[in-house]
Amino acid sequence: MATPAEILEALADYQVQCNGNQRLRKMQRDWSKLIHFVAKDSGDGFTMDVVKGEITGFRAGLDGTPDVVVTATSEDLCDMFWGDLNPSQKYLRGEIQVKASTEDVMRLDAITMIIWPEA
Amino acid sequence: MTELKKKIRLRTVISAGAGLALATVSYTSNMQVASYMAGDSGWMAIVIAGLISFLAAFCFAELVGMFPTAAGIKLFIERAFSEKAALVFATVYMTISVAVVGAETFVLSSVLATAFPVPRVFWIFFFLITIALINIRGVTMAGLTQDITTYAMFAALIGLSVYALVKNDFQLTTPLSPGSGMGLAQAVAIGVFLYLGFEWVTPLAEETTDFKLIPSGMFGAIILLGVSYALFNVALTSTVPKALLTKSPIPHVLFGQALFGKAGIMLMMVMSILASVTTFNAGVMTASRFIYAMARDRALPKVFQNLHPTYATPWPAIVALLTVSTIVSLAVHFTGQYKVLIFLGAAVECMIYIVMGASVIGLRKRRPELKRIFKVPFGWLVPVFVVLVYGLLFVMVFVPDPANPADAHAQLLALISLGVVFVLTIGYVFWLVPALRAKYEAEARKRQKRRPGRPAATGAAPQ
Repeated sequence: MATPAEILEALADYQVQCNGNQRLRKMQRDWSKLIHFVAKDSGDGFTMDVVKGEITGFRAGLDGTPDVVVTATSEDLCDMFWGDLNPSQKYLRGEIQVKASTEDVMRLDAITMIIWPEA
Repeated sequence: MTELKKKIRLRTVISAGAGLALATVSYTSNMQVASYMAGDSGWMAIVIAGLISFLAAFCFAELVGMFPTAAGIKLFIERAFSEKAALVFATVYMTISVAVVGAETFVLSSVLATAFPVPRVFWIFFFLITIALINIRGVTMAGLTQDITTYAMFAALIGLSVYALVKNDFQLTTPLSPGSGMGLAQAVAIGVFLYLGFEWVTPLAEETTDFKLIPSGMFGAIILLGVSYALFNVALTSTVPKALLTKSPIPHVLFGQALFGKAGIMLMMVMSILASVTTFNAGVMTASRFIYAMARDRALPKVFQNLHPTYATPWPAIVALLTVSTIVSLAVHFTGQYKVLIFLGAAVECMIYIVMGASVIGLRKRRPELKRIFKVPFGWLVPVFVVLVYGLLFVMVFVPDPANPADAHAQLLALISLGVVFVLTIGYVFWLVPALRAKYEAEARKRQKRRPGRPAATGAAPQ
């Protein structure tokens, strides 16, 4: 089970990778969302702000009313943020659950797909 | 569970399901149902098909309550049986649904060619290219616009039907005598096709934290469709001679013309365009996301996981889908065999309901501990009934009716086409998918892990 500190460290790297990818920024330029990540094994929650495709902040805890809620094990969340896991495969097997519109699910997956296409 | 910012309402779930099911080809199928029934009794088959659809909706509700995901049908089958079974049935279902788009384009282009003196082929290309551009641009109808459009279409359909019945002074021919039992069974089997699409609301389970909306929405959509289609069926056959209707792929245009002349043709043209655009757009969007997801799951070549650099839409999948639709539309245009696709659509819809009923049974046996937000009442009765009844209807789709010998050729072609799609899909699932996965996973294994300290989780993560 990944600790909250490990997930926050992974989120920090995820933020750097996302914000530094110009192709992704262009694609997501009209995508602004408040995203909740919930670790179903530990019960920990994390909040991420995306403004016009840029991750402007993240923190432990579930703040505000989200547009997207992602629920997975803490290990899967950590691996996903490090780019070591293909979230689509886990999603298609029901191991990662997403509450969002089809469009937002696509956009979220697109982040991993663009940054780590070989994952 | 935290609440989502955007809340969908019951009216949107109903309009999504009913709007997807109401296509231009639905009018043609409506007439096809009537052709198997005596006099003006076609409505009975539509109502019976609707009642059986209710039972299928119960099965969908139990399944989506366990797995509220857009991966829906594939995941249900995978958990109940195996991934290979899931890939086979989901791919056949999606392929035939895309092929039905070909019939839809053909019928719509026939309507437009009637209203405007331009060749049908032009309209086929015009419409499919327009849909491709809309989808690549990622334009979707917003909730309220979609609701208004869909409910306006149904209001118009019901209003026109009632007007026609009043105008005809309710002079009906044997509205309560369905004719032969075999004719009724086949009419019900084709009637199932009229409801194709109500179950496509299951992905909306991801957009709500109030799960009850999904089964309620499915039931509401079936009621709305059943009432509208049944009324239209009676109005249609009591307004225009059946002999004329059965020869035309656009019976509703004849109906409009009989009621209001040229203005009626234009009205039906507008209704056809609205019906096709809503069905098409949602259908292509769902199918293209399915292809994208399959590619991300390494079950299709990587080219299908490409996204448009500006609009984040899976453009190779959209182009591939619309290429297939164009080929099917042109094939229908040159052969005139649009009924093949109606039979195919009815058969594949029956097939997917059989598989859903079997999935409910399979999951109750294999995973009794899973939390079920909704459970189909009366134990095993409903899912077993769904499997048996839709199994019978599936067979009836292909059994030639002595009273309709002209359809035998189309039924045979539909059976052969379904067989070919199944064989190709099985080949794809058992040979191509393992080869693709082996190739892509070998590439993934070469990649350095980024997470410090710990190895990546096992399972779907690259080794």
